[in-house]
Amino acid sequence: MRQWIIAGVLAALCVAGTAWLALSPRPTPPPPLRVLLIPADGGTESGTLADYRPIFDAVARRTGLSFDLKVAQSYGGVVEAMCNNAADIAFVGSVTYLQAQKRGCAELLAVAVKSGRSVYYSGLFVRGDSPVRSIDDLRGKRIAFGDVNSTSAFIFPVAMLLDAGIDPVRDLSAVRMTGTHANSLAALINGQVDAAALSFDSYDKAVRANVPRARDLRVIARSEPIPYPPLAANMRLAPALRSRLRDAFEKIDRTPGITPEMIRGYGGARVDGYVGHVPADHFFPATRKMAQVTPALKGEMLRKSAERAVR
Amino acid sequence: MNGALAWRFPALLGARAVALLAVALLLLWYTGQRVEIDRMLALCGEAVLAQAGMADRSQVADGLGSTLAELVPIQLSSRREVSRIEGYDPDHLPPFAHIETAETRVSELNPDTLRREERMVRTAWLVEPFGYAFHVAAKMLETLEIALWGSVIAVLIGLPLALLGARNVTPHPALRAGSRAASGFLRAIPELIAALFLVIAFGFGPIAGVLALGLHSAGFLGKFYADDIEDADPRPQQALAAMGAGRLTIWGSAIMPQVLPQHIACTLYTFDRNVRMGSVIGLVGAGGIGQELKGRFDLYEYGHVGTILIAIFFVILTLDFAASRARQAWR
Repeated sequence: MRQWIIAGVLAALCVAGTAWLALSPRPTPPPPLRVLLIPADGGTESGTLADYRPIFDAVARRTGLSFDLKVAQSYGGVVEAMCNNAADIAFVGSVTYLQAQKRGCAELLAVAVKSGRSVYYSGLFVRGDSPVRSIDDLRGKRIAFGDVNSTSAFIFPVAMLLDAGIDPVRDLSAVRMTGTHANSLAALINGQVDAAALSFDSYDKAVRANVPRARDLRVIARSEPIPYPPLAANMRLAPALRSRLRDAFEKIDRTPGITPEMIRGYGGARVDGYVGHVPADHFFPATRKMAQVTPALKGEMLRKSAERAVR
Repeated sequence: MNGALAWRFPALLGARAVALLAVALLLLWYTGQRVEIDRMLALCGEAVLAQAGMADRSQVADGLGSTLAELVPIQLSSRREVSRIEGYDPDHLPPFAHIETAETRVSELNPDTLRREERMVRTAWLVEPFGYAFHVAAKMLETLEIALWGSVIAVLIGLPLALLGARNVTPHPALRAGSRAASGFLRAIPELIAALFLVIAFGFGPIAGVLALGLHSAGFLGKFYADDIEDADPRPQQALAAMGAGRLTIWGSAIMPQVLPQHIACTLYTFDRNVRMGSVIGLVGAGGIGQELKGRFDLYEYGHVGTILIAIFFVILTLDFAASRARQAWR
């Protein structure tokens, strides 16, 4: 009998606890806007938060809104989060943004500007002692690429090869999908591949971190200017709210409490500020490259990357 | 005396055993070729020779050596750029912190000339001597918490699955097959893959991690608990059954006391495993130390990676010690 009473009391406590958790009054202010940040080119959760928290704090001071910053790990996951209404604002790569925009989930909110421009570059790198001098010499060679959804480590470099008349599936002896810029660089330095597709920023980062032999690498081809990864807003946010946010981001460099060092953009690099109104053709190059690198080609390259190394 | 009792060694290698062994060796030889065991051995041998100075170059030694050598010295302090700290007040630094001003050479690849350009930059850093160690400790705590709750969910789902899947508790074969299939299904999805789906459903953060670990380990607890229950000595169960006890009573009075040590061992192993896997699921953004680990790797900050690896090792060691103490106390 005693056990039954104890069991009953425990069960009642569980039910009461669950009810209390589920029914406790919600805080009255509107819920914070959910922000998803992606550490482009790699980075830690705390580092990425440190890059963006000052900016969002400034926007919060200006607008009275509040933000809940979270760090995501995959480009694909961010697109899904935007389209499943699990995020209100996201910092994503240009291609990721275009994917979300194409699905009708996202709209441009703001993009960083540095010295009047909002672009960065990626390139094809080889070792210093490599006989490869130009992109044409890459025929029959092994190349490392990063994440399949990465603008600078995959889409633009693959398009560069296509533009040079090199079919990345047929004309390369091996394709390595390493997942990150850092892995591609390591594969190149250690001789697992003959060339690697990296953003200039991630290469600079490696040299700054004194990665052995990173200084000896050479660029054989540079991409077209790549649009900076933008901040995107979920289309489900009210239009008035979106324009209020856009306005606050544009005035970020004139917000009290903000020093120039606190305004950061892609890869944590210092930028001058943000603009919310970019010309319609700003993302045109990215759209064109994205169309060039078709899903079928991606699938073929993924398949090729699963093949054994040619020795 | 039974000294004259004839006994002989069991025939270790009968004709059947020899045939089986031959088939096994053939299989190993064939699959070994396919997964390049020969090449693995050659590369390893080359690496050992290179270490001994008997070969001049080894791809493995170079690749592994250059990265592993950089794990030390491990990073304990944290450095933050002063100019980026909001509300920075030089008169009120955090305890034990100090300011360091350093000139660093910043290298940038010029997109127009494709050449590296270097310039000197003066930066003031706020250095906290054990800042990074504390950060790693906090992230390890989160990993432990995720593993703990993952294990709790595993037990809550695994035990009912085991009861439904054990022959001596659940009489109905269809119910048993269903439960065994459910455990198998949960086990078949690795936590990293489950986490990929769950971060999309629940958002990036520990919820996805807890559920991913919980569902996967519920799958194997459902199997191990059920196997233990089936292997329990049937005699006490038969005695209770003869007295007309119900199946749940038999389980509670005749099976549970017998299998409890195995159940506890399984549960502790599940927790241990969840701690290890909890440090990986961060790779896909499901909380814990994994995200920090991958991030530092991508930033080429191998000293930080060293700190994290040592922290994981210490936590596993401590858990192992605690578990063995717990088992001794139980006996």
